[in-house]
Amino acid sequence: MTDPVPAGVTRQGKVAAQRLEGSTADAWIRRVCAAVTAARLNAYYPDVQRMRSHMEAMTSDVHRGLYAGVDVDPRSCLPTYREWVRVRTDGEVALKELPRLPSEWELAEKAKHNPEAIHGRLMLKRAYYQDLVKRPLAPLGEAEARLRKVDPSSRTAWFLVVMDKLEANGLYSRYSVALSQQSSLWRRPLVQLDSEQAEATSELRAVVFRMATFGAEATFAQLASLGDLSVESVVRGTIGPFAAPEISLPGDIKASGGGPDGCRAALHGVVADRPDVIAGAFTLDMAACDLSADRDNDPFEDPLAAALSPAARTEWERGREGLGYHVFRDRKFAVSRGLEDAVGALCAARGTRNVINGF
Amino acid sequence: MTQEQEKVLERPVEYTGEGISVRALEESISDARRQQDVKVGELRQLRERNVEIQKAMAEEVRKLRKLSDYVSAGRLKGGFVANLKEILSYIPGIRRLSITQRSIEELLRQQYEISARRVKEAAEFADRLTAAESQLRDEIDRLNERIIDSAKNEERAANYLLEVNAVFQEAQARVAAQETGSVAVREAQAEVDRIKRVLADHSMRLQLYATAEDRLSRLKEGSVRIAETIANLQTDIRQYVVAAGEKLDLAAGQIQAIGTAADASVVVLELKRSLDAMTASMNETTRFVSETQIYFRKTIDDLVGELEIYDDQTRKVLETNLAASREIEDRRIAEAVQTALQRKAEGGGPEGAGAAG
Repeated sequence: MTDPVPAGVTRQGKVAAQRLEGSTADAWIRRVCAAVTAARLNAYYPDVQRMRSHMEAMTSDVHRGLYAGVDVDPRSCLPTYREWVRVRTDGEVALKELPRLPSEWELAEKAKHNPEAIHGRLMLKRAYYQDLVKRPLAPLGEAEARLRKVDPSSRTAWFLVVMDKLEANGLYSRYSVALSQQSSLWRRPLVQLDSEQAEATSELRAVVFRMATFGAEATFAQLASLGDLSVESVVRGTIGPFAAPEISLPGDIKASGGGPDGCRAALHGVVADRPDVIAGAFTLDMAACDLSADRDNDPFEDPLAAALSPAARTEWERGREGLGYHVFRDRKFAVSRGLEDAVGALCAARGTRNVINGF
Repeated sequence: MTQEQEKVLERPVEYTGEGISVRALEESISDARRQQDVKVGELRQLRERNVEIQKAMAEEVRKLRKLSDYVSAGRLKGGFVANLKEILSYIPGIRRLSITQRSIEELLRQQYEISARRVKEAAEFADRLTAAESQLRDEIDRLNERIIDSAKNEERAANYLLEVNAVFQEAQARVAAQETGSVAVREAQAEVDRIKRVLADHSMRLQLYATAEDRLSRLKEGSVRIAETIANLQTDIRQYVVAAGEKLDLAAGQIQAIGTAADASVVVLELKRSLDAMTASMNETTRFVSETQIYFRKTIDDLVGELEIYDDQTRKVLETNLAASREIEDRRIAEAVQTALQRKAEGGGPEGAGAAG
C-alpha cells in the first residue's frame, strides 16, 4: 500500500495551493506561457495555443482586475484545478450573460461618476466576457476520437483518440491513443462510428482518466486488456512541472525522487534565488508496437517502474513482450536564458542528453 | 399704479427646473412611473431566474446527498467496488464504467464543474441585483432633486403671490375710491383685471408645484421600497455565494488529492469529504435561493399591489386637481359672462367680458 498522503497534499486531504497576486501573478503566468512557446511542442502535447489562451485569461490584462490573483499548485507550478475551472465556468457563463448586460456605452455613462461602483465593475466584466468568448480554452478532460481509415473487407476501423487532461498532480497532459476496432465486435463498442466522425465512449475515456497518472505504458496495458480493440500506441505528452523562484517547493517533495516530483525539486534547485526566471520540463512518454527497441532519455526515473518489486518487474516485462510494444521516454526543457548550462549539467549527471531551449 | 407696483407685476419669477403645467406634470410623473414599472418588471424577471436556479440546485443537492449517503461508512459493507458501482450509476453517462478508485476523480470533477457553474450563476444574479439597485438609487436622487426644485418653486410662487396680492388689494381700494362709471374707475378696474391674471397664473403654479412635491415624494417612496428590497436580496445572495464558494474551494483541493491517492480507504474518505463539501456549498446557495423565492413572492407582489394602489390615489389626486382647476376657470368664465350680461342689460357693449377673461 502506498503512502496514504501523497507529496504536496495536506493531512486534511487537500492540495496545498500557493497564492500569487496582482502583478506577481501576471508576471509568473507570462513566464509560463513564454516557456511553453519556447519548448516548440509537437502534436503529441496539449494544444499550446489553447493552453496559453486559457492561462492568459487568468492575468489582469484579461480579467481586468476582477480577481485578486491565482492559486498555484506548488507540485507542478501551474494553476490549480480550481483556477482552470474558473476560467472555463466564466467562459460558459459569459455566453449567457453578455446579451443581458447593458451596452458598453450605457455602462460607461453610468460608471462615469463612480467607476468603483457596480456599473464600473460591470463594465470591466463586460470587457472580460467579450474577450473570454473569443478565446480558445484548454480542455480539462475531454476525449475526442478521430477516424483514421476503414477497411470494409475486414470490417475494421482505425482511430486516433486524443484526450487533454489536467492531471491530478497538477500537470497538463495529452494522451494520443492509436487503436483499431472490428465492427462485428461492436456489441459494446469503445469507439462509436458515426459516418466520418467518431466519438469515444465514456468507458474509453474513463480508462484514460484512471490510468493517467501511471503513464503511457500502464494505459497501453489497461486498454489492451479491455479486448474488442487492438492498441497500436499510447503517447503521453506532458507540460510541466515548472519551477519559478516565487513558488516554494512543498516540503515533502525530495530532489532524490523520480518522476514529476523529482524533476520539480531538481528544477527548483536551478531557479532558486534567481529573480524573474523559469524552468519547465516537457515529457514525452510513449508505448508503441512500431518502436524497434526501448529507449529512455528521461533524466528522472519513471515512478511506476521505480515502485515495482523485482518480481513484479519481471512479470511486467513478460506482459510487455506478450503485447509486443516498446517504450520510449524523453524529456525536453525550456528555461530562461542563463539557466541552460545548469539544466544541461543536471541531465548529464543523470546520464541523459536532452533538448534545452533557452529564451 | 405706482412704479414699484408696476415693477412687481413685470418682474419675472425665476422658477428652477423644467416649466410646469398640468400636462407637463402629468407627463413627468408618468415618466418616473414608467421607470418604476421597468424596475418592477426586472424584479419579476429576476424572480423567474431565481426559480430556474432553484430547480437546478435542488437537483444537484439531491444527487450529491444520495452520493454522500452511499459513501458514508454504513453503506459500504458490500465492498468498495460494488458500492461505488452503485454510486456511479446515479451519474448519467458512466453507468457501465469499470470501476477502480481513479474513476472517482472523473465523477467528482464532473460534479465540481456543475457546482462551480451554479455558484457563478448565483454571483451573476447578485451583480444584476446590485446594478438594478444602483439604477434605482440614481432615480431616487433625480426624484429628490425634482422634489427640492418643486419645494423651492412653491415657496417662490407663494412669496410672489403675497406681493402681487398686496398690489391687488391696493388696486381694489383704488377702484372703490373712484366714482362709479367714470373713466378713472374703468382704468383702475383694468389694472385689477391685469393683476388678477398674474395672480391666476402664479396661483396655478403654486398649486402645481405643491402637487408635484407631494406626488414626487410618494413616487420616491415606492422607488425606495423597491431599492431596499433589491438591496436586501443582493446582500443575502453575496453572503451565500461567499459561503458556497469557500466550500467549493475546499472540494477542488480534495478532488486533486483524490486523484493522486492510490489507496482505496483514503480515496473513500476523501470522496466523502469532497462530496460533503460540495453538498454544503450547494446547500448554502439553495438555502439562499429558497429564501429569496419566498421573499420575492411576498415582497414583489406586495410592492406591485402598493404601487397600483398608489396609482389609483395619484389618479384621484390628479382628477381632483383637474376638477378644481376646471371649477376655478368655469367660475371665472361665469363671472365674465355675468359681467357681460349685466353690461348688456344696462345698454352697453360686451367689451367688459374680454377684460375679465
